[in-house]
Amino acid sequence: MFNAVLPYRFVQRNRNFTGGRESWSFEDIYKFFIHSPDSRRKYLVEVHAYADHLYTVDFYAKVQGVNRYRLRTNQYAAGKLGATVLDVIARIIRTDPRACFGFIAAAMLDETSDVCTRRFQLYTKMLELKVDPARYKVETLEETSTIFVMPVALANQPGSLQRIIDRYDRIFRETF
Amino acid sequence: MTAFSEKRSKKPHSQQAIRNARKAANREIAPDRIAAIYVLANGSKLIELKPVSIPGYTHSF
Repeated sequence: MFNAVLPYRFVQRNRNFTGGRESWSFEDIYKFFIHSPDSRRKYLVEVHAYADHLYTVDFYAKVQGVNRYRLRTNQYAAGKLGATVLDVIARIIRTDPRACFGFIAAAMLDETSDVCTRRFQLYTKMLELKVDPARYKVETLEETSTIFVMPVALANQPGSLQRIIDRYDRIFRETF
Repeated sequence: MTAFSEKRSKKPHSQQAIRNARKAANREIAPDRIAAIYVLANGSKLIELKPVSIPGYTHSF
């Protein structure tokens, strides 16, 4: 599982057009499709780059609506989806080896709490398997279902862990 | 939902409480998956996960 990478394509790089409301410096968008016997869905991966090598990765099936991060598509292709997003992350790391990543595992529509959501359980299991422990560490906050992936050298520096978590806290506040 | 099924659905299944308790327990990160726990300045617990290595799996990065 998580080995089948789907073909994906870089779409475009956007400048920050939020007028200072959000602090990212640029946004890269990737797209790919997942086919199931009765459907074909377009998925988008949005990578936001912030100062000091911080990145956030959001991905969702392209739908009209506000709950795009919380929907289930019922395509039963979490393995392919996860593998493709991990490949996008690996591509970023090839260009920026000091990159740190932050994710929020959104709650399902029927979940009433953000504590340890079902997506959080899946993403943590996926990252435990796929991240090279010699190079990266996976840190999680159960209360907010937040996951951080950071280089071992950076995570071992005293004080840097707290500083990075604080930065991501501010980033997530301005986005969600 | 028909009137009959609505009437039936009001009665919880006898195993429902046990199922809910099991689901709540499964949600938490199991202790054997935790490598370290750091307490942040705001009091929340940051959990570092242990890597899992299974033959045949390749690391993405």
